[in-house]
Amino acid sequence: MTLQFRAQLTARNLDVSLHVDDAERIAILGPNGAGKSTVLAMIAGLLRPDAGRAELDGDILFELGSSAGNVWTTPHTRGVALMAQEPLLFPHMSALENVAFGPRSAGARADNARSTARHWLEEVDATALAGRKPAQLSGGQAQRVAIARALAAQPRLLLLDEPMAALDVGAAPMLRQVLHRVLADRAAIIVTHNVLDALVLAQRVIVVDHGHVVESGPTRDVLRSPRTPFTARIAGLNMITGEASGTGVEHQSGLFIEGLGATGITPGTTAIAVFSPSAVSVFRQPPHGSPRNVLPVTITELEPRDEQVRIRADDLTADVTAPVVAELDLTPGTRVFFSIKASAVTIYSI
Amino acid sequence: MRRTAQYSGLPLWLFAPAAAAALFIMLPIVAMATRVEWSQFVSLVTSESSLQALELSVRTSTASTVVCLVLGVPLALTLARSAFPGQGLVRSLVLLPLVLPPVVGGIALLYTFGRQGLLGRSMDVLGIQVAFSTTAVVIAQAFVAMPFLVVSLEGSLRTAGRRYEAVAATLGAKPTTVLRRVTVPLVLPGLVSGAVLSFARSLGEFGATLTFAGSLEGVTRTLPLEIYVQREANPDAAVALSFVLVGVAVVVVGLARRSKEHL
Repeated sequence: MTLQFRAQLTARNLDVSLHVDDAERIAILGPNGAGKSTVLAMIAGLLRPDAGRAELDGDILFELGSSAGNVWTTPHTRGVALMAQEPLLFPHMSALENVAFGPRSAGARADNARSTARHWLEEVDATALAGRKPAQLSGGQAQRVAIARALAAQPRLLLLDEPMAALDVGAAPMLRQVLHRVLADRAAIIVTHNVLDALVLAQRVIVVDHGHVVESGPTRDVLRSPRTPFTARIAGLNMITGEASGTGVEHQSGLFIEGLGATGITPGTTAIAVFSPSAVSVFRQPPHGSPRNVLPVTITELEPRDEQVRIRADDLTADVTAPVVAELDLTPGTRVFFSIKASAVTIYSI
Repeated sequence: MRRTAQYSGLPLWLFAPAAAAALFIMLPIVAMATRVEWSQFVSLVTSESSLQALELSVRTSTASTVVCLVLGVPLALTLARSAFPGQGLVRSLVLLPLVLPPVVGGIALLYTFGRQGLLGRSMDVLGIQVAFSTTAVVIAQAFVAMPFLVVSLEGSLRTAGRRYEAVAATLGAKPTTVLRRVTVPLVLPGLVSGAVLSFARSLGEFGATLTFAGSLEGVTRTLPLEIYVQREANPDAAVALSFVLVGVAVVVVGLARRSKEHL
């Protein structure tokens, strides 16, 4: 599955082009009103651009404003499923019937469609919810059923529009794990304003601002060294990849990072520990006593940012105030210890 | 009296005109009830001409409700879900029968389907004559009742929004499948209450029917026409039959409200 997409929408001052490779998951990041959802609507066939061209697996989705004559295919023929912020489960159908809707629409017999639906409900750990009406589901449960419904339709491309945005904080991590699992080896575009979603769910990110792509590349590269102010504001997270083990991640150097969310991950698989630069404290001597992660590093760069100073030590960063820099006499080349509370570190399987 | 926990914020003096309004609606019904000869009620409403009129009314109103559904549902869907030039004008014109005096509607129908009418002349050539037939009764009723269905359904469609339909389409459902499995079930309450209101309006139709279909016993004389005829000849029968229609109206209003609340 590959997608080539380019579209212009004059009324929104939008001109975006992007591509999705086989089994690739990309994330579209950007501020509110940047045109992220508009792009999804155009790929799904719900909104008609003024000009542009999109091709999915060699099938033309649309070709508008060209000399060759206009082509526009209807949403139901595209094989592109859209999952919105709200689950939008059909309220008059049970969860099972909702999931069976796609197979049924594709012409499957009722009993076959239902067994397909049961399979997908199982994939999202929602078998127990099969008989419930959408009104009897919590936000997280409904969103899991909505994922099963989208997958059961066997889309060639799955579009997710801020799937975690309407959930409460407690439900988001579980849904993120479910998505991480079911999206593997699948082509998908995820619109989000959450860096963690991009990090966990997508291999590549596109940053959209004012209707234009301003930055793109592999997720970690973009988030590690953002080139636009928007990305810089939301990114700059510390990420340490290693092997899941017990309550944390073990880096190949033997360093162990403890954090939240590690217990559900199979030991030995690849996992990533994520923490914000502002959660890092900097010491000249190794701190003792508190249950913290301590990383010995050498400062490579000091960078003033607003009222703080960002300390870079190779791939890791810490934000501290200017007096701290003066007090500890920090300069490039200084050996220091980065210390992070385990509760400020989140661990995800990759 | 049920007290609610929430502060209503209504000035007390408002209850006086509100009570007057309620009385204004209820008093005539009560007044009529006092004039019903209850001892003869059953024999009055089961006389041959009464039963004939009642049967005709139910038959034609059912047929006109079916016509309203078959033609009105597509119209409401088109008005609510698509955009075409002149849509605003069509929407206003469809509402015309709501405000038009029914007798004017009857005359308009006469000049459309009557022998010398716009379509009537060609229909006459084909040997089809509808004026002053039971078919004319159904046409007159559908003409005045259709707006009730269209307005009720269009409102429900707008409230339901298009988002579920969009999701259904991206799941691979053809437009007809979306209509059958998503749109119609979502607006079913509005559809049912619209159909019930259309049926009630058909049942009460008088002016357009009298003008376009006449008052032939057993053919076009529906219950309201029978009441009008009996008013002179047998006032007791007219009052008794009126009360039957009041009963039907109460049931219809109840059904329409229930469908809004429960479905």
